[in-house]
Formats: sequence, structure tokens, C-alpha cells
Amino acid sequence: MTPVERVASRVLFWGGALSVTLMLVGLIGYGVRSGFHGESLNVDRVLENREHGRAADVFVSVRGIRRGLGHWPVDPVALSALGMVMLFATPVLAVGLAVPGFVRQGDLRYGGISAVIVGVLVLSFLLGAAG
Amino acid sequence: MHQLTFLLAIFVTSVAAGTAGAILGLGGGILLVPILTMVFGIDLHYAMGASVISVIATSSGAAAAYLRSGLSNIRIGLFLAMASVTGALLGATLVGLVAPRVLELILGLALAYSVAVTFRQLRVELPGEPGYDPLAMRFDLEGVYYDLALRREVKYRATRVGRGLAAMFGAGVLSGLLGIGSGAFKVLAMDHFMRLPMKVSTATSNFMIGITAAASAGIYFGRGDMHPILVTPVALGVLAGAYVGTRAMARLRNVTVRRLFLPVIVYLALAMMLRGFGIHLL
Repeated sequence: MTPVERVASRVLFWGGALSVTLMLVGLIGYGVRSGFHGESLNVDRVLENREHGRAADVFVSVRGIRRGLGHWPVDPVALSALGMVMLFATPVLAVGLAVPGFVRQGDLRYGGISAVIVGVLVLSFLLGAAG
Repeated sequence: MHQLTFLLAIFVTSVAAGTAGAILGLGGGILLVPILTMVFGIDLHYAMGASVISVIATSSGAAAAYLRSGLSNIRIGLFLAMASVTGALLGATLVGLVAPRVLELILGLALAYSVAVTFRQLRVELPGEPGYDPLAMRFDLEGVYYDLALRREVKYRATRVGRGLAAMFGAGVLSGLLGIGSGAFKVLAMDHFMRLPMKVSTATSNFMIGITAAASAGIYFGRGDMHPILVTPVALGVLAGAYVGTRAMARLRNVTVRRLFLPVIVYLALAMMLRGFGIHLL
């Protein structure tokens, strides 16, 4: 296994494991607090989401997740949402770290290819954010 | 149904989807979306958001193991991902400009052709000696892995790379335009055009599908299609399934993987052609 493959493999494994652990802790917290009967734990979000025809427990921005985690006790659904965002950032991080990895190996072609992929992913995030 | 029972049922379904996805190089979305909507009565938007999460979770779990075992080829994956993510971005910007029904029908016919080719190759364990391809040589699109089923090292080199690249770009455009996952097309392009061993094709597809899905995940999240309580059992189940699937796939023969893959593309070909006539199965 090359150093780049080792890093990519570790990032994918630990990124996935950490993300689902956070999601699970959030789900357990949600169950403990609502007894798996509750619709949501945050009144402001429920009202905002209802206005836009979305489910009560949905987060649509990192800022919203940060708000949910910014007080004690934290909103467990926000913890699950944080795990979710970390999960979809994991492949991007794996490819992003491949750029310096390939460059260090002296493989500029694949360093460039990885950089193009990261660039397209960032562009798609920006286009998505712009709606 | 009590919420906890409901979430446990989704978890069990996701384990099955993750196992199949890890073996076949798919995200499991083609299994999950119809089950979540038809059996569990979940809104299509949340089911599609959960499907994106399932693709990334399968990819994280399976690709990590496949990279370690040498079945997933990171160079081939990145080389082809460059075409598929660019195609997906172009496809997403073409939404509304091209009639999706026509494309779905063409795609269905192309898949029907792939079914015939796959059927002809059903007994082929490993591709023959590859022809010379300048792109494969220049970009080191080759590798070696130890095959647990054959109990020997298998060396391989890609061929007809230009066709594979074009197929990946096309799959990316369709993926962005039609909002479908493209794991099956990635496997077909590597297996048919580039003549890579079937197991290398599905394992490398597992690495690539996470990258492609990440490109659309932000859009689904921003639209409010990802429900944290719903996607948690999906991600957990799929990751557990991917763990089982990667161990199983390493011990399977290439012909077995291809036999398992065949009904999936038969279903996809039918579904795409029906979508072309306005009937939605997935």
C-alpha cells in the first residue's frame, strides 16, 4: 500500500466511524429525552421548518447545527446532524489529503488530478449553497 | 409502528443494502429508495437524502477496506472520478434544458445492451491480456491484488481508457441531470470498456461513488432533504453491511460477482426505459 492509499484508507475509516458514532450518540440522546415519541426538541426550528414545509427535526445549515450545539444540554438532533455533515465531508477530505500526498511522492499528474476533483467538489458545494 | 421499532426496521434494511452495495460497487440507493418509500412510507425527498448518506457510508466503509487489500485502485478511481464529477456538475447545470425522458430512454437502451454483454461474459473469470493503451501507460492505470478465491496474485492493466473516460463523463452528466446514482455505470465502464477484473471494478467503484455523492450531498442538505433521525439508522446499518460485504467479496470469484450484478442492471435497464415512458419505479 502506498502512503497516499494508507492516508485515504485511514481517513475514510476513521471519518466514517467518528461520524456514525456522533450520529448514534445523538439518536440515543434523542430517545432518552423524547422517549422516541417527540417530534422535535427545538421550538424555533420546528416553526421555521413548518413554514418551509420541511420536517421538524431537519437542519439545513451548519450555522443551525452550531446553534443547536451552543447551549447545555446540547440538542441531540444537532449532534446527529453534525455527524451527518462530517460523513459527507469525509470523501472530500480523503481526496484533499491525496493532493499533498501525491506531490510528496513526486507524482504531480495525480496531485493535479486530485486538486481538479477537490476544485469541482468545492464548486458544486458553492453552486448548491447558491441554490 | 412505534418510532424505535420503525428505526430498527430501517437499520436492518440498511444492513442488507450496505452488504449488497459493498459487493456490487453500488451505493445501495437502488434498493433503499424503493423500500423506504413503498414499505416504510417515507417521503421521496427524505428517502433520496438517506440514499445519498447510504452511498457515502458504503463508500467510507468499503473503500477503506478495499484500499488496504489492494482491490480498490486509487489511481484509476481518481482518474475516472475527474470525468464523472465534472460530468455531474455539467449535468446539474443542464437541468431544465434537456428533456430527461429522452435521455432515460437512451440510457435504458444502453443498459439493455450492457445486459447482453454482461450475459455473454458471465463465465469469464479474468479478462485476457490487455491491448496497448497509451493513456493507461502514461497514467499508470494498472495494478496487482491477491485474489483469495483464486489463491494467486492477479495483475491487470486498463485498456480502451478513452472509451472508459467518455462513459464516466456520460454517467456523470446523467447522474447530475437525472438525480440518479451512477455506481452501476461506473462498474460497467471499468468492466466492459477498460477490461478490469470485475472485483477491481466494483471495489474501485466503491471508492468513486463516495466522491460523486459528496458533490450532491451539500445540495440535498441545504434543501432540507436529510433528516438526522432517519439517516442515522441508515448510516449505521449501511456501514455494518459494508463491513460484512467487503469480507464476503474478497472471497467471491469474479464470475460470482458478475452473476450478482446482472439482475441489478436488468432492473435498472427496465426502470430507465419505463421512466422514458413516464412510469417511475425508482
